[in-house]
Amino acid sequence: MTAKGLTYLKWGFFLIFVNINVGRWDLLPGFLGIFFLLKALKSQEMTETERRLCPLLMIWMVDQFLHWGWDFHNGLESLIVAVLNIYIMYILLGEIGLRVEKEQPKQAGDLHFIRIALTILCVLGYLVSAYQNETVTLGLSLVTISVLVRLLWVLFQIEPV
Amino acid sequence: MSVWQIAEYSMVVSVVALLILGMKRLFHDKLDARWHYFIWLVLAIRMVVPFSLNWLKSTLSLFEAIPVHYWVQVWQLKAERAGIPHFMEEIPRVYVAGVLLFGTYYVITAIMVRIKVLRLKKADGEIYDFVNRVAEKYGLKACKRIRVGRRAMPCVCGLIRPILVLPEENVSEEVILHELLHQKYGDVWINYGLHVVRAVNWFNPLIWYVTNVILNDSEALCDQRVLACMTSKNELPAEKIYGNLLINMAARKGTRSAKIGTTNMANSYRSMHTRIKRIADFKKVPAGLGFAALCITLLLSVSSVSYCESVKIVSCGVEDEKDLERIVLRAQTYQAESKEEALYLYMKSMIEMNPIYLLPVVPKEESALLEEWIYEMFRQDRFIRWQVDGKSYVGNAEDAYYTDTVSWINFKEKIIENPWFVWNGNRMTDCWIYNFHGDEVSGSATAELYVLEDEVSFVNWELELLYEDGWKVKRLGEEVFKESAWQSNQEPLIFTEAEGGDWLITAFGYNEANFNSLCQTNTGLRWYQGKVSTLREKEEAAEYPQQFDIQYKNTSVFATYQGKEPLENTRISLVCQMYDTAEEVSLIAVEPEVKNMEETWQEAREWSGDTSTELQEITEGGFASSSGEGVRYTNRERVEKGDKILLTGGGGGYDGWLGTEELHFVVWIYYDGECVEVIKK
Repeated sequence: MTAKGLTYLKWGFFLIFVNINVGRWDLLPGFLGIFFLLKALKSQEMTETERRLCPLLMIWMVDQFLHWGWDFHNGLESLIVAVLNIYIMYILLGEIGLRVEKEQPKQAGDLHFIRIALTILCVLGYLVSAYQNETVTLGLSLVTISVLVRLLWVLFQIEPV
Repeated sequence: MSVWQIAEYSMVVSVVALLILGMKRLFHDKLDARWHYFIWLVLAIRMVVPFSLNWLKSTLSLFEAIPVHYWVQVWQLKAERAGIPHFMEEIPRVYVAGVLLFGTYYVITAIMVRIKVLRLKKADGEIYDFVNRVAEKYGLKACKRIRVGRRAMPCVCGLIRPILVLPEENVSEEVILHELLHQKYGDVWINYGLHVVRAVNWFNPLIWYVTNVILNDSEALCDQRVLACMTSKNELPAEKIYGNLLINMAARKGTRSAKIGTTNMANSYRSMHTRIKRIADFKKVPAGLGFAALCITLLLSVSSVSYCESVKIVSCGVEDEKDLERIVLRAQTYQAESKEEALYLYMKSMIEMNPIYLLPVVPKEESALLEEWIYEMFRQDRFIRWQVDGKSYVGNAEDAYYTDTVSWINFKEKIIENPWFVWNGNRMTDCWIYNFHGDEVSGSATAELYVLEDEVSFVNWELELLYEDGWKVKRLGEEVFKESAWQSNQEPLIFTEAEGGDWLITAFGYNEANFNSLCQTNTGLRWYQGKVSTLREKEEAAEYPQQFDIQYKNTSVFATYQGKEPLENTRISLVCQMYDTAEEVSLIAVEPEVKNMEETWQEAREWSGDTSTELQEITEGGFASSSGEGVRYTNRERVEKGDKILLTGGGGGYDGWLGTEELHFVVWIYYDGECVEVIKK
């Protein structure tokens, strides 16, 4: 991974997963984070898989932008976004892992674990959200936060080429 | 089976099919042929399982966002009002006839295909050897029956004893491998299943299209398996060889492809296009995506089969008659799924004086009249409207209390005479349901409404519960006015009595549900003497409290003095303890002369397991707070013949005694601290 690509990635994940709201406005909008992920991919030579991922990232970014400016909820849209989310995270982290596998196999292994954990958490989060069980939601949130912190930590550990 | 059920089923299946097609489009070059094929399992589950899974929350359901059930109900309602044309009644028969027709056609076609295949020449030993070699090379089971034809397309035909059909010339290893893989994975079964689906949905072009896509996906998956086998044997470039083979096959003129009961390696150019793209993508689709693909499939499955509850009742957002029509239709299509829910909606409509909540639970015969009355009220501007969060609400005076934006207007002056709402237009402050019982198809209950006029008064209604499409509540007879609350003057669900000395002990069992208490437990609606102390949560409209249950019973135990002479200048104490079984009662010691009141209480307390509470005195007047558990006593200085003393019972509501069908009690009677009588039942 190039240094530029890595920086974009860190910012991207940070903006996607961290929210600071003032009123209904998110000061760290998720769509900007997705934009940075796109920039990270485009800042280096893309693999075929990454090239194919770009349209999905664009769709996700537009959706997040609409959510940022317009407060709406639709079950079908939530389902599609959840599916997109699972795929994008899984592929993206997998591709980053492949890029660093040779030089930093430990980080690559961590990324593999994190992508599986995030996928499970995304599915559970989607399913549990309907039941509004505070304890389970809190538990899931804590686990998700720790996985995301771990992700950022691993990204910071990756040495740029 | 009605035309509406057929329409709903077809629409549900179509929505799921469209979702899957959309997902396939989204991931067309991002997930492999395996996912593109197995994602159709979601549709298969939805088709085979005609009901939804209730334990999955409706908010996960695809049909929460696309309320097919509601749409169909509205169409039905509108059609019924407009008068259903005669031909509509014939549609189910036409549908069944279509299913039978297509089914018969497919059966005949399958038989004819089989006969045609059997008429083909048996393969010679050379072809058998070739097929066996290919099977052995790739670790597959060889086909025992092989037929060849000059113009035959390669396929596997038949379920139980499959026959491999091959052209007489130019049979390549890949072709045989493809068909053997079809045989291994039982794709002929899928082919038959898809034709059943077509027959059942013969009128739905989308399903015809979808079944074609599935057949093609089945071939594409088989192509992928062929490529995987070839790659494993280092036969490179596998994609190029195999892709060319397919194109040549599709280009062959005069070839006939049998559809039903067979696999079909060479289908149309159009279908071939997708397969060639998948072959070209064979190694480009990211590998190791099985887990993510599984999770995506899981989410789609859950949203397709999860339960979607009846459409919610709303009474907001009403600006004009069109809005009113919308909420009336929603309410009319709402089905109370239990007797409890029906009663809850009935109570809610009475308390809030909101006819929208009454619409789902009035019997069909009254529905049109109630609707007409609502429109008339609206046209004459007799409903109170107000704004909350930019939404205009319509309802009644009661609801205005929630907002503090509109002062209450006397409903009495505004209401148009009607048979459903309060007899004189006064405001209800609370509603109780007593003696609620019933079976699968009917039930009954007594409603008691507390009315705020100059002072609180009470009105009783007998209610009948019946099941039509959803549970309905019908008011029986005229209302009965009362000056006091329900307890002590109603016919109980269960009753028992026992006599001892000068005393007659009577015990009553009944169940009750209090609207305001239920709402407090549910979402915070709180009323006290006509005043709202907390705001209503919006979800409350759609939920009814589980505590409102036919099983929850309360008891009242009364002691009636029957002595000829009044009992004066004596401290009379009566201690009452309820028990669950007669056996427990028989174990209670009954030796009044050796026990004082405190000892008796201790013993009773041990039996009841009620070790934390004090001996509670029941005061004269008002409701005792007892729900029948624990030990209670009451003191009197004087009693006369006929005096009826409440020992335990009253209040409590849903947190009361979860009763059995029997009442058991022990009552100890003390004069000046000395036990003179123990009455058991």
